[in-house]
Amino acid sequence: MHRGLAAALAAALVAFAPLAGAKTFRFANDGDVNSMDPYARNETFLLTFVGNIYEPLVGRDKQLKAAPMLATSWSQTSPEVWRFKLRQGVKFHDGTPFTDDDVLFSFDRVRMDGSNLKAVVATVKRVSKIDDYTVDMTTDGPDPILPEELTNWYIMSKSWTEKNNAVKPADLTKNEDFYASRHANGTGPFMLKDREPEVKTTLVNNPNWWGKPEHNLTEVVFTHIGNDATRVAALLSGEIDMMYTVPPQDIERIRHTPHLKIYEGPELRTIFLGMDQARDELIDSNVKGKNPFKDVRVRKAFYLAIDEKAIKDKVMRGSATITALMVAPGVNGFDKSLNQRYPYDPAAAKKLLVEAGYPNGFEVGMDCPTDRYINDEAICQAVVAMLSKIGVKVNLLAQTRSKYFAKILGPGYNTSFYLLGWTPTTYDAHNALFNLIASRSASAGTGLFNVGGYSNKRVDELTRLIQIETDPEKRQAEISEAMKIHKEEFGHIPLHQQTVVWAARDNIELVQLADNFFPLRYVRVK
Amino acid sequence: MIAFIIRRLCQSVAVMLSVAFIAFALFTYVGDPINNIVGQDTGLREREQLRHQLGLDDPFILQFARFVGHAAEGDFGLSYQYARPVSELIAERLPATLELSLVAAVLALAIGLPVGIYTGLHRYSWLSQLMLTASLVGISLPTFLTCILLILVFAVILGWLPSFGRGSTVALGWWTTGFLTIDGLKALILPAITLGLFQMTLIIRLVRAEMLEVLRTDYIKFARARGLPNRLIHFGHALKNTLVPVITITGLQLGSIIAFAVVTETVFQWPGMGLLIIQAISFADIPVMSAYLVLVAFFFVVINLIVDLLYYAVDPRLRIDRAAASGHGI
Amino acid sequence: MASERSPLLQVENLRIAFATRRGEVTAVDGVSFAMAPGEVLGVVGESGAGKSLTGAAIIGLLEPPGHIAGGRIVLGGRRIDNLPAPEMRRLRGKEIGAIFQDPLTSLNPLYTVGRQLVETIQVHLGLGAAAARQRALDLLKEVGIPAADRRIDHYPHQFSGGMRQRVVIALALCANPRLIIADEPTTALDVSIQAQIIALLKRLCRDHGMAVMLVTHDMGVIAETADRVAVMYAGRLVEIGPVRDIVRQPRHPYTAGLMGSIPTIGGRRDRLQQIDGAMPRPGAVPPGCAFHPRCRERFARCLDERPNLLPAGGGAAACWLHAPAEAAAVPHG
Repeated sequence: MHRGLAAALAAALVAFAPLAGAKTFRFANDGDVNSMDPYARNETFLLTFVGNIYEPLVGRDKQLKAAPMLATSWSQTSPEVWRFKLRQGVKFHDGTPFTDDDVLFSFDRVRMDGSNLKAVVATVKRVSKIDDYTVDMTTDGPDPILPEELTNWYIMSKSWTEKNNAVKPADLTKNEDFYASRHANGTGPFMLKDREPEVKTTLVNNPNWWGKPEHNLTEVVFTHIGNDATRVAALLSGEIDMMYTVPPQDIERIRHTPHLKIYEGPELRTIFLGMDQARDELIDSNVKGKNPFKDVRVRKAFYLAIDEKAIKDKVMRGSATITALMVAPGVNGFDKSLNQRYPYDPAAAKKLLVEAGYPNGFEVGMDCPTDRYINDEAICQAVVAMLSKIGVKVNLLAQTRSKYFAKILGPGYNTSFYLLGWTPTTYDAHNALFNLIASRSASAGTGLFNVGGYSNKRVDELTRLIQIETDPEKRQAEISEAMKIHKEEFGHIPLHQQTVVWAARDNIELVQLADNFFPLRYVRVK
Repeated sequence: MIAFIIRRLCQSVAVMLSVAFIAFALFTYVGDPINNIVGQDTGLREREQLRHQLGLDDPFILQFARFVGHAAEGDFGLSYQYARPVSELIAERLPATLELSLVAAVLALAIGLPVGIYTGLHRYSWLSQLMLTASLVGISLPTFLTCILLILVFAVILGWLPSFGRGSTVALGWWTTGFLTIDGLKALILPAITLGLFQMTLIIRLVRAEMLEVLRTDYIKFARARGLPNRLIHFGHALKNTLVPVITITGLQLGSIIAFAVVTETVFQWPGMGLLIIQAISFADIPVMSAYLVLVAFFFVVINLIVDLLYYAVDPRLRIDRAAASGHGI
Repeated sequence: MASERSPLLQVENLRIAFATRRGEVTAVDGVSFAMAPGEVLGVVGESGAGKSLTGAAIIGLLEPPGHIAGGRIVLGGRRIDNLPAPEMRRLRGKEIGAIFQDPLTSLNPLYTVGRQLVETIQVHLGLGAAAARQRALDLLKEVGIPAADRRIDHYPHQFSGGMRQRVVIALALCANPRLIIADEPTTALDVSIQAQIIALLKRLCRDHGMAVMLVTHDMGVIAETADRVAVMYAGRLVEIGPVRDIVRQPRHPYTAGLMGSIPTIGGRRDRLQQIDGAMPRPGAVPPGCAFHPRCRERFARCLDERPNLLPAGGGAAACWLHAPAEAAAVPHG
């Protein structure tokens, strides 16, 4: 045989042989990453996936506490100014160094039309350069929790986006392919190797990452498998190493399958019911001329009539954490002492309805999504059945999420009674108070998702105070007070936090986070 | 012939316009895409602004006119979901669906025709009875159940075939094919069986029924009386006469295979157009949905045209103009 | 019923039965006759009398569940009722041709008449393509298709009914068979065409020396064409003899009734109105003479003793009226 040919063959053989220590990790999710652009959508899965490639200034550790990423430290130099020290010697995947120009650029880009993360920097007025590795952020009024709000804001490379005509986030109104939605160049522990939308997305280890890798992966293959049964089958057959979301009906089966493991933990998202307390007459009810939900006794009757334990056991098959609050444990500001539900008591509920002047109950329409939260429609059906026991006839309208949201959200808020879920994206109770509980006000920007129009002046005041309070203890007291008022007025009916359930082969080590983020940097293949 | 094709083409354009119109009208009721595009924290003003930019606040007729105008140029706009041109998304997905449908159709025909012929010719044999019973099972199992059963047996228990995806593909220009790699071919097997199963049973039953019908005819009796060998009678005379209805149904079924690959693609995570449309629907991605419907209508129209042309090839009674025929009559 | 020449076809005691869920039902029972080469035998009877079945049995095309349950069929000295299927297949078309009732449906609509002729010729005569086509052309000319060289490439639907029956006849002639079973060859045709087709058949029979078994319920056609007539009733042969004798003086009361309803070619073709009642269905044939419930001349013997063919006039009739007194109970020998 020709010597050169032999050498080539040998080289080829080596290339195809598995490298010693090469660790490929294959995982699947029920949704695809819709874009590689970190500002394309404010959505958990996109952010967690892209977060393996791109990094924020302030990240989160395994306990979800704010942790240094591209910023090594931060402090408030004045009530309205936060100073961030940037990490030195960090390089983007294309080899260009990371500097504060990239931070300034990313700040501009995240606020452009087409960006879906404008809200995360909403309180920031200005970012200014102090030196090459120091930036100051000036907020619009004091913002004590700014670092917490920035954890999903990933830093992009100024030179790379400029070079590839991706300075502006994808503009949906223009018919053109968009570079940054299919390519990525971050500073993170993994680099995008190959992306075939819907087929697979391949990441490889970034050997030049600034941190000390905890993971031992050389390659990560992500596949979107939408069908529940197929996703489970792929795990059972060993085609993938890890997958989520796990269908509730398959949890026990996977748990009892050798070499497979179930990871379970409470999620930050709270599922709750809301009632229209704003209109003088409900848009969808047989009660005319008045709004029964304006009467706190009716709201309390609804609360007491709902057997959340039954929902948890029967509908959620145990995979839920019962809650009395609108925020979950793990959210900053959560007050354990308030987290006691009023007990299920249909007799008292019935009595309250009689007192309120509805001895025979009444009829009301309910809106529910069918494909947004775990078992959303089934929960609503259970609620309908439970309320019928106190004489309230609920007409359920369960629809796909795009129709559902179009109906119930502003500006129309066309609902009388609805189910909704909320994760405070800042991991802080203020976010829930600001969006869900404070009175709807276009000028203050509050209550955008306060679909039922709950309103309490003291809560509004507290929400404003919490936003600017820098003393943690005082701030907690204010949060607890607002939560307590809301709880006692039955502004909403909190149900539960969903459980994050993941499944993996037992040779995989991973860290499950309550925000359903899945950082690959903690994954090890044994 | 030419006149016939031109007439047919004109009808087709009308059909496609109506499909586009109906589709477009329906889509105004699937919900508000804005909520899917933006995150939960996005303010009302930004939502309205985006709605305006996308033209979603224009009157329906204006939106439709804009859509048809662009569609005529092959421009279906930008997907709300992926922020990429729809035409590109479809070009990316089309090969997967077409390859799957093709294999499914070939499978259905390759098994359906012979089995149909066999059961038609040997109607009393135990093998025929067995095959017919099996086909009954095939026709009554819902597609998703077939999928799951196949996955369970061949992927989970036996571990022979992949449970999802398309395996590795080879790019030939813009066309990606799974025919050229081993795991691409392996990945094709289960989805193609699932997709082809219903059509196969349909073809078996159709061919059998037609075969029985034709075998009763006088010209087959007469062909026997002429002493022609069975092979010639069955495969020359009888089979050809069963073809016209078989072509019709098979043609329409091929259209449905493409259009209804949705379930199979969803279960097997097959990266084709079915998967695209399912995601587009739950996302209210109107540009993708419209483009998909127009494309499927286009497929149906083309297939119908081909079916009509095949009739011409098979049945001489259609080839002759009436005037000419009566001229020859005595 | 003896013929001076050695017979071309002998049917002996033929029984055709159908296997049904309730057991075997006999549809043709004890039919015996012979045909001489070149002879035209008319087989006549009402629908269901078993005449078409007899023809189908001879050519080996009884459709299951029908089958030959007894007797023998001998063609040119060779027994053919028990031949294996492939051999019988080779015989069909080559030794025995067939013409069916409806020329509109006897031809495959998807093939040109030329193709159908050529395939038949090639199967039996093993000719090359060109020679086979030439023979096909000759045959078309012979059966009187005008412009045959052009028409050979036409499809059946381009021919009129009469022309199509001519094509069917040409197909039956492909391999020059010695016997043709013509089952109601003119029934479906227009009245004016019927005579032409009958004339054509007679001419071909004469020219080729073919025997024709002409199955029909139309006495008129038989009277015009046949040398001898066989009359069938309820699966049995009731009378057989030279056509002139039978037309002039039928010996069996059933034949007599049949003659009373002779329609001429071009005239009406009525059902038998002269005889009351209807022919029994297979499986419900009464004991004794099958015709006795309808017979005006029946007597005690007819009710429980089945008559065999007895010599009567120029032929034979299965009727006790013709029984010699001294040999009354002795089977015909």
